[in-house]
Amino acid sequence: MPLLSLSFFSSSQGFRQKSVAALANPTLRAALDKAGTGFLNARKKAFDEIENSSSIKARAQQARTRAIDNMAELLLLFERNAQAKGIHVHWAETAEQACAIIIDLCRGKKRIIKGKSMVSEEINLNEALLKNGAEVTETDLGEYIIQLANETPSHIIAPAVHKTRAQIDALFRYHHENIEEAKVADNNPKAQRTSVLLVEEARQKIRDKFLQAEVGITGANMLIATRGAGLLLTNEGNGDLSAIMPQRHIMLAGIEKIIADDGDAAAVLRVLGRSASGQSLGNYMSLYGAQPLQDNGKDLHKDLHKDLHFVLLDNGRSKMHSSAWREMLRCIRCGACLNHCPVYTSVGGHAYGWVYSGPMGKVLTPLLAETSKQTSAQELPHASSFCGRCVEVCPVGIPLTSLMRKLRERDFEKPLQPRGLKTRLACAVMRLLFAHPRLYRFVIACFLRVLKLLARGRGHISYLPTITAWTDTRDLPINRSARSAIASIRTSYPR
Amino acid sequence: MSSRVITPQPRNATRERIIANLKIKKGAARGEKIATILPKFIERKGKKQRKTPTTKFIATKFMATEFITRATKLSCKFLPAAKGTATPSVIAKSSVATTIATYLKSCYEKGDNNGTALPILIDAEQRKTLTELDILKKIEPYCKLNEAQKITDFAATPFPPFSIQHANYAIAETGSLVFLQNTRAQAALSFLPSKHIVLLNEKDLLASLEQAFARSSTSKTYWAILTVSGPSRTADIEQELHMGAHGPKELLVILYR
Repeated sequence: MPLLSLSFFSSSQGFRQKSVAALANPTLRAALDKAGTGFLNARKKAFDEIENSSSIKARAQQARTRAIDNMAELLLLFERNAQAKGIHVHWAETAEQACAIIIDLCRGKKRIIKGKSMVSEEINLNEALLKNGAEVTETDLGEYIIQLANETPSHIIAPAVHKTRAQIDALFRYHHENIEEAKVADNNPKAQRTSVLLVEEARQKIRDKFLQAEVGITGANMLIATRGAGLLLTNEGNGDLSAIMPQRHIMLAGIEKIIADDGDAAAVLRVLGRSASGQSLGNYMSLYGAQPLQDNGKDLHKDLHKDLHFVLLDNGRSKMHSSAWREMLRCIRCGACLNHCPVYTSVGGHAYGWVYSGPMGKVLTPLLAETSKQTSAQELPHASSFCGRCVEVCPVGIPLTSLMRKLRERDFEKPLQPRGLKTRLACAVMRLLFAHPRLYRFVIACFLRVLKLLARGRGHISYLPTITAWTDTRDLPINRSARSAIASIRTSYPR
Repeated sequence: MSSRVITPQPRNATRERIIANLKIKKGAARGEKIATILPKFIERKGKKQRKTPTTKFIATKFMATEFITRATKLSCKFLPAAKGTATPSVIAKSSVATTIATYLKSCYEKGDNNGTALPILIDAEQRKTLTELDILKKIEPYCKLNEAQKITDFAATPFPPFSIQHANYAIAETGSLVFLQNTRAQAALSFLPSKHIVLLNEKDLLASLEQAFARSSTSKTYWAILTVSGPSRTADIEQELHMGAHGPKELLVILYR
C-alpha cells in the first residue's frame, strides 16, 4: 500500500519554478496535448445543440446566486430536513475538524472506499485516515491511478489527465498481482496494454474492494435544502457503488454546495454536465436521503442507510461570503475554465501546487483558510494573461479575472514579504513620472530616441538588456520614426 | 423509534460560528437567533416557482422519439434490435416477454455462460410486475432466476451477468431512466451486473428534469433517486471513452406501450 504522505506545498518551489519544470517535461506535454481540444469541442457541441443556451446559463447563475444569498437560512433548512429523516449532519470549521469527524465515524472500521471528492483532497483526508490505520481505496479510475502513483489530482474532473497510457500500464504492472498474462496483447508480456484492458483490470481490482467495504465516503455536487438530500453526479458509477455497498455512507461537501430546491438543482444540472464534458446530464445522477425513513411509525427502509452522514466543511468559505470574493462561492466545479485556460493547458495542474488548479484555483487557493498564508498561493493570481476566456465559458458567470485583479491589489497593499528595493524604486520613479506630465513627455521622448537608435533602421529590436525575458521570444517593433511617436505623445497628453 | 420528534439540535458551537459568519448582511445582526431565521425561508418555499427554460420543448406526441434519439446517443441499446439504420420503436405490451426471451435465448445460444442457464437477478419487489408481463415464465428455459434480498448476497457473485429491472419513469430531455430505490440490494441491481435490462412503459415518459423531481415527490416509499443515462463509462485514460468502468457494460432498454 503506497503511503500517501504527500503534503501540498511540501517543496519550497512556487508556481514559477514548477511551471518552468512542467514546460520542460516532454511526457507531461504529450499527455496534455492528447487531452487537448477534446473537452473544448465536446462542450461547444453540447451548448450548440440546445436552442436557448444563454437563458439556460442565466437561470443556472440565478439559482446559484439565490443559494449564496440565502446561504445561512438554506444550510439550517437543510440540516433540519435531513435530521428529520434521521440523517446525521456534522459541521466542520477547519480541515482538521472535518478529518477528525470522519475518523471518528470510521472508528473500528478498517476498509474504506471513496468516490471522487475534491473537498477530501482539500482537507487531505486520505493521509489522515491512513495514519489511523484504515485502508482507503479511491474508486474513480483517475483518482485510483493517482493514488497508486502517490500523486495529487491535476484536474478537478479528470484527475489523471497528466498520465499517459504507458505510465498507467507500468503503474498497474507494479501494483497489481496476478495480472492475467493471457490478456496481455500479442502474448508479449512487455507490450503496452490497450486502455480497454487497463480499464477492465481496474474494474476487477476495485470490485473486490466494493464488496468488502465497511464505510463509503463520497462528495456531493449539491445539497438540496428543501429535501435535505445530497446530489451526486458520476460517470463511472463508482460514487453510487461507494454509497450503496458499505453499511455507512459519509457525504462530504463544502457549505457552498447548498442549493435551494429541486428547480434550482435542475437548472444547475443542465449546465454542469455540458460545461464539464459535453454531456447532457452525466451518466449517474443520484439523490441520497431523498425521502423519509419512516412513515407513520412504520420503518420503510429496513436494510438501507440508517447510517448516512453529511459533513459540511467551512474552511474559509464563510469568510469569503462577506468578502469581495463572494462570487467565487457560486462555482459549481465543472472545470470548463481549466480546459479553456492557455496557462493551465500549457503547464498542467500540478504547477498550481494545490488541489484546485486553473483560473478557479488561482482565485480559490489564496482564499481558502488552509493555504492563505502560503506565499506560493499568493503568486497564483499573478500567473494570468487576463485573456478572459475563463469568464466567457463560466456557466455561472463568475468574473474570474476581476476577482484575480482584486487579489493582486490585496497582495500589493498587504504584501506577505517586504517589497524588494527594485520594486520600491520602480514604483517611486513611476509615481514621479505620472505626477509630472512635462517630465513624462521628456523622458518618453528620450527613451524613444534611444530605441530608434538601437533599431538602426531594421525596424525592430531583437535584444534589449533589461527586458530579455520579453525579447528572448519576440522582437520589439520600432517601425515608426521617433519624431512621429513623440508627436503622437504630444497630442495624447496635452500640457 | 416509532415516532420521531423533530427536536432542535443541541447547541453546536461550530455551526453557530459558521452561520454567524454568513449572516453579515444588511438588517441581520451578527449571531441572530437561528429559530427566527428559519421560518422566513420556509414560508417562501410554498410560493410559485418561476418558470425554468428547458433545453427543448417536447410535445407529448414526440416524447418517445426524443427519448430514443437521446438514449441512443448515450450508447443505450434498444430491444428488439432495429434492423439496419431503422430507429428503434415502441413495442406492444404483449410482446415484451417474447422480446426479452428472444434476446436471452440468443445470449444463451452464444454460450455467454458456457452453455449453462444464465443467472439473472431481479428485484424481489418487482416480481409481481414482471409476472404480470409474463416475463418470468417465458425466460425460464434459459435462465436461473435470483432475487437479491440483501446487499451481502452479492458477495458470492461479484460479477453478476444480467439483471432485469422495471424503471419507475424516464426523462426525454436527457434520455435518462429513473429508479426510486428502497433497499441497497435494489440499488445494486443497476450497478453490479454486466448487462442491465430495463423495462419502461411509454406512459412513464416525462419531458424535463423538473417534472422528474416533481414526480418523485408524489411517492413516499423510497430512499434514493437514481438516474441512469447510458452504460457506465470512463475517459480517464488518455481521454479514450470506454464502457463498463464500474457499472454495466451494456444498457438494454425495452420501451413498450
